Amino acid sequence: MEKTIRNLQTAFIIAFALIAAGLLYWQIFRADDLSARSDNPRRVIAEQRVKRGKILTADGIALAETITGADGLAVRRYPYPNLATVTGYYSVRYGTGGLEAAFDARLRGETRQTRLDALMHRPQIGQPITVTIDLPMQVAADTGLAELNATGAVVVLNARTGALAVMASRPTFDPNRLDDDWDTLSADPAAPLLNRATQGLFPLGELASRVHLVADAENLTLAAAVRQLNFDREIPFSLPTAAGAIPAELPQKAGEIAVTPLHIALMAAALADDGFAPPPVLVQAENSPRAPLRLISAEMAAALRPQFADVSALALPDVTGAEPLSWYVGIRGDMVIVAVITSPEADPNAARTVAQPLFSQFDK
Amino acid sequence: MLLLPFLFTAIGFVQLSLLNGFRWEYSAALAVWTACFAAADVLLHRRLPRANPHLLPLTALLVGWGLVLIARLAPNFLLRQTIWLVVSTAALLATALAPRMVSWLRRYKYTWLIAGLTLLAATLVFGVNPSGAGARLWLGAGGVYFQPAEPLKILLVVFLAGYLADSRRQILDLPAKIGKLPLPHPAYFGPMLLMWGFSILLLFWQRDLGAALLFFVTFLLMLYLAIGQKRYLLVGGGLLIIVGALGMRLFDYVALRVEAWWNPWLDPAGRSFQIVQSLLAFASGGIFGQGLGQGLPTAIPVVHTDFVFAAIGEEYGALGALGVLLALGLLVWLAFQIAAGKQTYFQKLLAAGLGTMLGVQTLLIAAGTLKLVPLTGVTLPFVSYGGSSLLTGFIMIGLLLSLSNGGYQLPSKS
Repeated sequence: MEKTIRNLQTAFIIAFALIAAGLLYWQIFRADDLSARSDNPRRVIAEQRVKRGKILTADGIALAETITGADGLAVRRYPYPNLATVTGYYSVRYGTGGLEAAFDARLRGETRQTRLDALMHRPQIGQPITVTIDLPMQVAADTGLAELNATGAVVVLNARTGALAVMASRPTFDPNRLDDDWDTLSADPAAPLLNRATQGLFPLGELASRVHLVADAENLTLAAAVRQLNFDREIPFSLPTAAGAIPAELPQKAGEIAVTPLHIALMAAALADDGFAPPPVLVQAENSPRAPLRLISAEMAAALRPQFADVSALALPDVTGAEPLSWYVGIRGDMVIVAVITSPEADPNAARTVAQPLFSQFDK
Repeated sequence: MLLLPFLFTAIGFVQLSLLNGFRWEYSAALAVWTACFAAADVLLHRRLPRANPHLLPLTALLVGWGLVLIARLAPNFLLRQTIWLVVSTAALLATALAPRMVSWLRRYKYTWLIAGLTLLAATLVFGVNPSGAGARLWLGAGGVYFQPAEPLKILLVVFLAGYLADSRRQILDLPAKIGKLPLPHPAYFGPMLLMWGFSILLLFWQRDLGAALLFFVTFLLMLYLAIGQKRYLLVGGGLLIIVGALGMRLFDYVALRVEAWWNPWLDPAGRSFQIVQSLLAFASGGIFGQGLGQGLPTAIPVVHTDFVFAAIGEEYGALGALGVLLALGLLVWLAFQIAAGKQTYFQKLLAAGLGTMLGVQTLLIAAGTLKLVPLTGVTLPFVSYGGSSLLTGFIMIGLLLSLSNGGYQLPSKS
């Protein structure tokens, strides 16, 4: 029996070693992909303990803040529920969107979490970010869009610095209620989750005449001018942007060129200043490696500027394929304003009506 | 030797006190643990000076660790387990120090086994489940619950060791063969097979798959120990697969276990919830673990009994889980060392049989929580919550201590 005892003893050693190997397989080799599984309850708990940084305006007003409850779990609050276009959203269940997504690492404080903090299970404390948004102007623009009950967007930016003072889009959503409203919001044909200022494509219609002006001034074909104005590509920005939709038959179908309000704002910014479009900026101290882009020569910019200073234009159903659109492009000092809204009555001044209340803000 | 387990256990309770605030149950558990093992150590030194010196410290470490984990995972059960620890230590000492315990068990092996089986059969009629739902494997009276399948483990090992020691030669005496496989002698093999078959049947009937599997495998391995026929292992393994396949057809709960094991990712929120949560716990532990009280092992249902290994994996990491495996593995190894020592045939079989039972049980639950084999509900010896399991484990250690001392000679009986 000595032999069988030794055999079985060896067999047990091997079996325990196999268990140890299985243990290491799950604990080390499969650890990362299992820990990343969305049904892992640890993720939710860990997520809810993160003290996420605030989103502030330059004046220190919080657009998004995190409140920690008595249970140690954090809740994200948006004091200006209509400014989701600026803040984006944060949800434990549905993830992040907009600015909350773009600056997630900084807001979560991932860069500041040391190994010791992780070891001690200290709650992660995020850093705040400060946006360039001018709160009164942003609220005025958003209210203007809301009052007309229109689909549209308003962009106001500084032609010299690229800092966005307004980025409004309607219809929008309340980020405080995202968990409850998600199914409705994501299925809504009006796409309230879409940021129309940077991703909404709007046909130019009569506004195409201004592109013609640039093409003539620079001695380019319309197709070449469209490329020079960067209409055919996504604008590098901290938020997602969309490339314009350029019809193949140019210049015949120039009115059907569809671009984002941000494209138009940068074109206007080039004309307002010295022919350079600044890289758009939404968050202060966002160290952007991007250099301004020359869209037009400085002389031509100076010559054409009056033609862009106060423009109202319509895009009719023959180019939109749906409701008429009203465009407004304006230049006031260093600031450029672009507004675009649907206008069922084809009112050429509809967009200007939305932009009007902002003018007084510049004159302050 | 008991100092290290003491420090480990004490640090665990200090950690929990810092985390959850001090509770008197913590100090009570630590005090009882210390008293039990100090008393056992002193008594064993005096009465069994040649007994193996490593068995008790290893047991102390595992039990202390277990108490800390129960305090962490199911604090309401801590006091209950502490009381069981007192009972179990008394049983360990009684077993180890009663000079004729082993021979007494052997002489009346049929009586003991039948008594054990009767208790087990009683659960079919009077069985309860303390948690209110699930398999009714317990006998309860006055708030105390007892699982007869647990002591049956010892009784079965004693019975098999006694029986095989008495009649191992006769078993293989028959010249009849199937091919090369020598057929066992029905007159000698029969009673053993009958007793064993009855145990398995009862457990299967009770839906205690873990214990049934444990008994089946232990029986096969003890048969191998005594007779040395590897072919029996093959036949037994084949039989296991056939029974398993048949069980899957006949019983939904068997099929469920096997499916949940084969591909848990199909239904991670439903049927394979437990095993998936167990793997997630291991994964979050990494090498060093999250730290005691810092993980989320309570996401696993019944973590304090069947899944305590996963909780160790999460909070103590791979190092902790390997430590538990090593401690249990050492106990098994020591049992075989004792079996290999100067012993009578019966004693050898008994020591090796106890080691086998302990080893197979550890392997079944550790491999089950790691998705290496289908999950069967057995406890992780000494660590899991469970009074009957603790008591049985302690009696096994008591027997091994007594065997390792070798201070007495059994009257040979043949």
